[in-house]
This record gives sequence, structure tokens and C-alpha cells, in this order.
Amino acid sequence: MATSTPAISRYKSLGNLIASVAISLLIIASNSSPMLKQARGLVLEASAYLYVPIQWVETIFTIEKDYRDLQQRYIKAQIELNKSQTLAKENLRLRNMLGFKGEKSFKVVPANVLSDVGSHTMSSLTVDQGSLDGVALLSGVVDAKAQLVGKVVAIAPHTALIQLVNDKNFRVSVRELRSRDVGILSFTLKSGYIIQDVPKNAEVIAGDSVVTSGFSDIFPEHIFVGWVSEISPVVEDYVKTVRVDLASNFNRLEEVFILKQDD
Amino acid sequence: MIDILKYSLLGFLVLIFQWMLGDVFSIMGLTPSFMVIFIIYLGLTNSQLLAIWLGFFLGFIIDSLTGTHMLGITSLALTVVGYLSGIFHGRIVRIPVVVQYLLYAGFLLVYFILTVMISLQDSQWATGNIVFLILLPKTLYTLALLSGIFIVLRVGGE
Repeated sequence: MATSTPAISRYKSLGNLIASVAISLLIIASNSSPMLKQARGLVLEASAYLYVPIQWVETIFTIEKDYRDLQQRYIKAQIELNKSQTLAKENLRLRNMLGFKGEKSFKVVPANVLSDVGSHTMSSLTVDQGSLDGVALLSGVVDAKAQLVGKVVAIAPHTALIQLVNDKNFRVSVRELRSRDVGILSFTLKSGYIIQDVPKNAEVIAGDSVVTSGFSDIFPEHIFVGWVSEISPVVEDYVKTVRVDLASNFNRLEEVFILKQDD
Repeated sequence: MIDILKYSLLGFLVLIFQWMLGDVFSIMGLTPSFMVIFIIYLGLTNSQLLAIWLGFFLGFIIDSLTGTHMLGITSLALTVVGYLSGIFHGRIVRIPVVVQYLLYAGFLLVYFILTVMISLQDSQWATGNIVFLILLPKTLYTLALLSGIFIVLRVGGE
């Protein structure tokens, strides 16, 4: 009897291990099921409540500095806006003359960053705006300078999870502003931010600006992404790889802006 | 029952610590996992079953918070580590110290192989690079922290 108790306990542990491993594998196999998305949403929602007091304390210390920065940026932006509005009107008039269709317009939902998670395999942010605030799944996200940050990949009523550009699963269609060449930007651990399969005769040079191409419903065109830093040498190949320095600094993100497509 | 509540609460505190302050301990992009240290501690000193199931639930929360495309992978890894560490529950003090640390290193390797290697399998990194630049440094770094914590908590000592 004395020897059978440890044996029973051992089988009990093994049974529990098998059960929990089986459930884990089931979860891995059904990652996109609505039930799991709901469970993930609940966890995100709960995590937001934990961050509220911390964020409140942080806000008290930074609010005055932020206000002065914003004042300066507002004046500069107002001047730029006046210029842009003049150019936009002229552009619209010319487009109408040429018979182009109108562009999609976006509303912006400001959101505070609650937490960020970065590792070699994934990179994401949790923000304090969710489906009840008008945020939709796969909405594009930019920073305060309208530079590309990522997209919404999971959503809860009051929070959303944003996959950053430096997540290895993130892809976005981009355009090199000067040469107008288009490619897919991705992040690799080995090479950083790269645009692959750019035609070898594309006239891309280091320092060129890279913006979103607008070839998707997630990001409108002309969102600033970064600058070309390096072009791989073409060796017996028909395409080249362009390395990009990203404009947005994810370590300093305190608030982001979620792009909500107008109905 | 009290133990379950006590260690669940402790697990949540470790989770919050990892989530909010994990980056403070990051060296050259290598962030240690305090959660795996906690699960090993739980398996060695308390209960194998608690380590298995708490590992599963806390792993699921970690996966939900990190936005990984493989929801459930951390659950799987922590569950396995909880089981393995639980095998040595009550016996770890009778094992020579060197072997103890080899065991800890083994537990951490199992955890990081499951979480890092599987997640990076479709990356452009060569397996050798993943092993020598991420897996082993991360394991050694976490082992160093585990050693410090276990010495303070007198785990594995007489």
C-alpha cells in the first residue's frame, strides 16, 4: 500500500501533464477561433485596469512638459497645415480636371499606451481604446508625427493590442518617394527593416524617403515610414533588397493614433 | 486550498512584475523570464500539480498580453517545466549542487527551446544563430538570476 501511493501520485501528475499539454496544443491549433479571441480580449481588458493607476501617476509628472511641447508643435503644424491646405486644394482641383476618383478619408482615435512587450519573436503595444471607442480590427496605427507604428491585431471593449512594425509577422506595402518604386516592408532579426524584391533597375538611393503605398485598406497612402539606409548589391539576381531606417521610435511611444476609416 | 490561492496570487505578482518591469532587466535585447523561475520554484518546493496548472494559466495570460501568433505556446512550455521541476519536489536537497544547477539549466533550456525556437522557426535566422545568439544567452542570463533568487530563498540547500 505504501509503495502504491507514490505510483498513483506519479500517474496523477502525468495525467495532468498530458491534459494540460493537450489543451495547450488545442489552443495553438485553433488560434483564430472566436472563443480564444474573446478570452484574449478579456485578459487585455483586465490588464488595462492594472495600468490605470500607474498611468495616472505618470501623467501628473509629464503633463506640463507635454503641454509646452504640444503648444510649440501646434504653432508649427498650423503653419504647415495652411501650406498643405493650399496645396491640397490645388491638387484636388487638378485631380478633378484629370477625372481621378476621390481618396478614402480617415478619422483618428487617440490612444494612450498602457504597456509594451518586445522580444525576439514579437512586438506589441496595449492601448486604452477599444471597440466601444470606435477602434476596429486591422486599423492602422501612427505616432504623434503621423509616422507608421503598426496595426490593431486584437481588440476588447476598452483596449486594443497593436502589432508593431518590428514584429516579425508584420508586412506593409510601401513606396519609395523619389523613384516611386513599390515593395513590401518587413522586419527580420538578421537584417532589420527591409524591402525585398525591389527590381534591380529601381533607382533607389540611400536617404530616400519611404511612405505607405496605400495598396491596402489598413493604411492610407503617404504615411511616413522611414528612410532608405542601404541597398544590397545585386549579384546574379533580378531583384535587390533595400534596407530601411524606421522613423518612429517605439521606445518613446506614450500615445498613438488609430486610423479609423470613414464610412 | 490556501496554498493554491497564495501561489496564484504570487504568480500574478510575478506576471505583473515581468510585464511592467521585464524590460528593465533587458541586456542587449535579451529579457529574462521571471515566470519560468517562479514555476521551477513552485515545482521544486510546493506541488507538481500546482506548477503544471498555474504554468498553464499564467502562460496563457502571457501569450494573450504579448500578441504572439502562437497563443498557447508559453502555456505548453511552462506546463512542461512545471512537470519536470515537480519530479524533483522534496528530492532536490539530496542532489549535489552542481547537478542541481545542471537540472535548472535543463529546465530553462526546455522552456526557451519551446518558446524561442518554435516561434523563430520561420524567421530568416539560421538555427545556429538562434541557438548561440538568443537561446543560450537567454538561458544563461535567466539561470544567473535564478541562482541568485534560489540562494536567497535557500532552495536546494539543507
